[in-house]
Amino acid sequence: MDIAEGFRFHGDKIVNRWVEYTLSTYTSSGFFLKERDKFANPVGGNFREGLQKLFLLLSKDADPQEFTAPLEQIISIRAVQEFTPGQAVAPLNAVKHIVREAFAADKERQHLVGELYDFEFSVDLAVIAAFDIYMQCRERLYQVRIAEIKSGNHILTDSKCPSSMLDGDNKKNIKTVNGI
Amino acid sequence: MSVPKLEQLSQSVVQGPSLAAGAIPTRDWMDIPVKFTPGSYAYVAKKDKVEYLNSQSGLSFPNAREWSPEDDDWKLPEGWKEIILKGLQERLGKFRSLKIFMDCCVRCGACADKCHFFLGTGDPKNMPVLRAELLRSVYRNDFTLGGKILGRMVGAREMTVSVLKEWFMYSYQCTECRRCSIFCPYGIDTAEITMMLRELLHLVGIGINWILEPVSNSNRTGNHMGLQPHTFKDNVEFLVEDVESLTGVKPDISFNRKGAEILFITPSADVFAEPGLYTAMGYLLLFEAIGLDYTWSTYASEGGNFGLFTNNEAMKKLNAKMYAEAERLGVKYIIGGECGHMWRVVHQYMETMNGPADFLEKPVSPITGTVFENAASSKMVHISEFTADLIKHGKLKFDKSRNSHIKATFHDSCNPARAMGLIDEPRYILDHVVDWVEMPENTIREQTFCCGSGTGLNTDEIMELRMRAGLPRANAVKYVHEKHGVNMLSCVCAIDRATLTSLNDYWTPEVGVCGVTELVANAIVQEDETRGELEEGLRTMVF
Amino acid sequence: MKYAFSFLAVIALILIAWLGSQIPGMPYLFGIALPYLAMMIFLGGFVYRVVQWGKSPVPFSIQTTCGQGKSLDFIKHDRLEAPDTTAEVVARMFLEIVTFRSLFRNTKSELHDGPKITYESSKWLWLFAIIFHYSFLMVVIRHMRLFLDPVPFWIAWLEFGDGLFQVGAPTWYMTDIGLLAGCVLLFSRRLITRHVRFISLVNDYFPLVLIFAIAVTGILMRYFLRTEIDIVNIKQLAVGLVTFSPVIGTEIGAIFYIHLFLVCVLLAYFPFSKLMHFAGVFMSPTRNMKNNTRAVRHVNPWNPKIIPHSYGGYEDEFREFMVDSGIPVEKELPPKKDEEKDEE
Repeated sequence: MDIAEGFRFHGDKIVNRWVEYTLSTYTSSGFFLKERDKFANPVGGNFREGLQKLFLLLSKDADPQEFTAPLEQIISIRAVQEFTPGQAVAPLNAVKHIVREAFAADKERQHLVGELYDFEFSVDLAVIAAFDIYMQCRERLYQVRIAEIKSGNHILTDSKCPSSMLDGDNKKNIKTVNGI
Repeated sequence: MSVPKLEQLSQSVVQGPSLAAGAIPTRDWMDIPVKFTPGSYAYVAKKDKVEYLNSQSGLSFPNAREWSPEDDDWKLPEGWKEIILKGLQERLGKFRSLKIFMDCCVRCGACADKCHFFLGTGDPKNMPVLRAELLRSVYRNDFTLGGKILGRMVGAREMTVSVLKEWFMYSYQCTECRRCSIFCPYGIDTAEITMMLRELLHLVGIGINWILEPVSNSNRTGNHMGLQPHTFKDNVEFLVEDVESLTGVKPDISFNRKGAEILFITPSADVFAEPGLYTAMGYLLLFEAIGLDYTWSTYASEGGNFGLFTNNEAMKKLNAKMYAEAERLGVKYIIGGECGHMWRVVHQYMETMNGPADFLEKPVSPITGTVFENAASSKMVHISEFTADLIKHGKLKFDKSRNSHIKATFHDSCNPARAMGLIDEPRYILDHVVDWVEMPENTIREQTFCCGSGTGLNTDEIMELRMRAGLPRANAVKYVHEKHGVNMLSCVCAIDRATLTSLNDYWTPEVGVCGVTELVANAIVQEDETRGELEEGLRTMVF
Repeated sequence: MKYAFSFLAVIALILIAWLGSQIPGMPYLFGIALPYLAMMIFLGGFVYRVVQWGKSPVPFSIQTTCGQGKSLDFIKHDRLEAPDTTAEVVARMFLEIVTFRSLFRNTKSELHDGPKITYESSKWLWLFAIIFHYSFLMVVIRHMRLFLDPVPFWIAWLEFGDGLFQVGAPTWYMTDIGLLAGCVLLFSRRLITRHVRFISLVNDYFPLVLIFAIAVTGILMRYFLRTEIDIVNIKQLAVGLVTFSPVIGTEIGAIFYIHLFLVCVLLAYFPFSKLMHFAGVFMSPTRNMKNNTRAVRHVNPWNPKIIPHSYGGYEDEFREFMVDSGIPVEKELPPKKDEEKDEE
């Protein structure tokens, strides 16, 4: 009974709990949990897919580089959902506890609890990577804002601000508009 | 042993009752008040814009003032409650849809998980049924016998400031996309509910700037952007120059020309903002290729109609320019560019409001001779219908390889799909000009997901909210990007072109956004062209 | 709480009928007066509501299109989803009302990541609704045998079909089971599905409990308490009611009065409740309108007179700019003007 076998044996259960735990931070977790169609339920679907992939990687001591894709799938959503940075990444940590609980409750595999150092270290790396991704997402979001202003769409609402970005002729006209 | 730790962790996750993400509401929804924080609402309309609109004949936008949703006191007018209730009564008398939608809902919940705002935020008040209940509860209280007698027990509640605030929050978290409506067994259309809520809110001076400023611009200068005639002309002429330097063909254009056969109207964003301006270049190229006798108008230089997002009076007033200008110029009929909500207005409201259009002629394509029977009365043809017909008759010569840098998919815009049934024309066009694939089944055609920023919610102060609301759409885009290498999301909507660009920039930066006519123009082969290798079609930078 | 209240209300109604009908003379109230009153409220209320709806005009043509509209010859028109003619609208409405098509639409793509739960779950609501409504309809039709003398042959056919499985004696009708099951399923769905529970009101639970109680009392009478009631007297009363010459024979049985009273309550409640969706579905503008608004003008009876910001006014404001940039104008510039455009 090595640890790899332990992860395989309890894998589904652990991922399920992990997904459940992560989604329980949402108002409508009932719906997010139940509907498995990725397109009908993008939040729940992406979390399930992302956490599943991530768990596989964590449990086999994969290169932290590989964490990026599944983390991006989860964190990009949480980065726009009114969570503080800490709240956004916190559920990742939960898998440590979930795994410990799962092993501790299993008589045959209780001894594996002592062998979790590598796994937990991987989780720590994933959490750190998640912070990076969270920040990238936020920065991307601000880039999107700036791009919108530059593209000219912004002129719709507040003509004063983007007018400064336009060439002379337009600038004049827009000011006139403002002076209605 | 580890269980308490897990709980501790979850406490660091869930802090305080935030409806958008956080606490699970165990209380009745009526007991959960809304809270406005930066990012949860769009900026309110500026005082001078409201004053300007209120001064226009036929419009009423009272109670102009400086205020903020975050303030406790919204500076409502004296007797605001009576104004709202009277307004509701009046609308019950004017709209059968409202009455029936108030009375018929059985709260089966079929609509709940169909709303992109609910899917993206998880906020139960974003379930279409509950959005309607926000209004229905007040309706019950003041207009039904049961509600008057039994009150809250039957879901009735009194109109209070807190209810009003809730209305503001959630009627501006709905894009009137009508997706819920197709799943409702009674066809209850949340767009109608949201329109009524917004109309009622305007009665007491509650509105957002991103909508009212374009409305006032459009009224005065002819377009949402506030471009004055010469600027509008300059902008289109810039595009003409660009087209010439790219293809060697200089499109012949005219403005406000009397006696032209056709008046062309498109959203002003197309001549001003990326990536819409490539679509506008597409129009220029397309019309030049077939030698169409048409004119632009600076007076009716806006296809879109943000009036639709305020009240029916403003919608009518803005829309009236189209026919007025067509009549003044003496054209035979009108062709409309690619736009979503514009076509909702044109298809379902225009002739009712501002017709009959008996001064125009039944639209006939001057190139193919096809009679557009489906526009026989309103005399306005969609550019996709017009183009599809040209292609069918072999009037356009394409070199599909000119779009070989693009692997496209097609986003059905809400209004053309669900309020018009314009679904297959753009697909027919795409088949001829570009290599493209469909997104997953339940995210296209009539089941299409909104961009998340329609109905005047495409403003940057609520960017996170827009990203959440657009997630269902973005998710499907991401899927075809990963599976089929899609790098371009095509659409027939100007708001989409702007908002999906932002949405993709966040969720799938590898995928661009374009109008269908841009792809058409990319592939068109013209007689006198001196076109080099344009690696990115009309987007190629030429120096 | 909301569902518990519904149960309490129905239990109270049952007690009223049970105790009430025991008081001498009261059978006339429960057997004759209340049914007439309830029927009057039902018919009057129903008509009133429909007329009320009809009074409000349909100012705009707001059909929802769920498929390709009619346009060019070579684009395939989806006649049911975007109807262009009255016949197509009728077909759309017919399927909507008879097969609950919109609920059936509730399909999900079969592309799944998880191995489990697929798309059938989204058809549950449709299935429950079909079971409930069709069972209810059949039960109502079968009851016509009580009011009609002689009993029309087609009712016997329907009864035969309904009891096709020949289970039990007297033969159990499928629709009796269906109606009970429908109530239970729809009720449980309200309780179990979280978001539906969140939006449910007393008004949603109460009719289900009421109809359930009606079905139970009916079933008790037909299958279990046959000896307690006098079917001949019931038929006599029923026929008497429809021919406006009601007579109450000897003892009919309390269970009958409970059943009848609950039906009366349902009838009286109907016009003031969401049950009016029965009529509303026919009148919903998003479904019963043609998608031909550009081909035929729809008229708004209260179309307000609003004129656009005039071209004249527009040109007056921008004439100088327009002339400068060579845009044609209606009125040329006056010789000279001293006023400068105000900036800011």
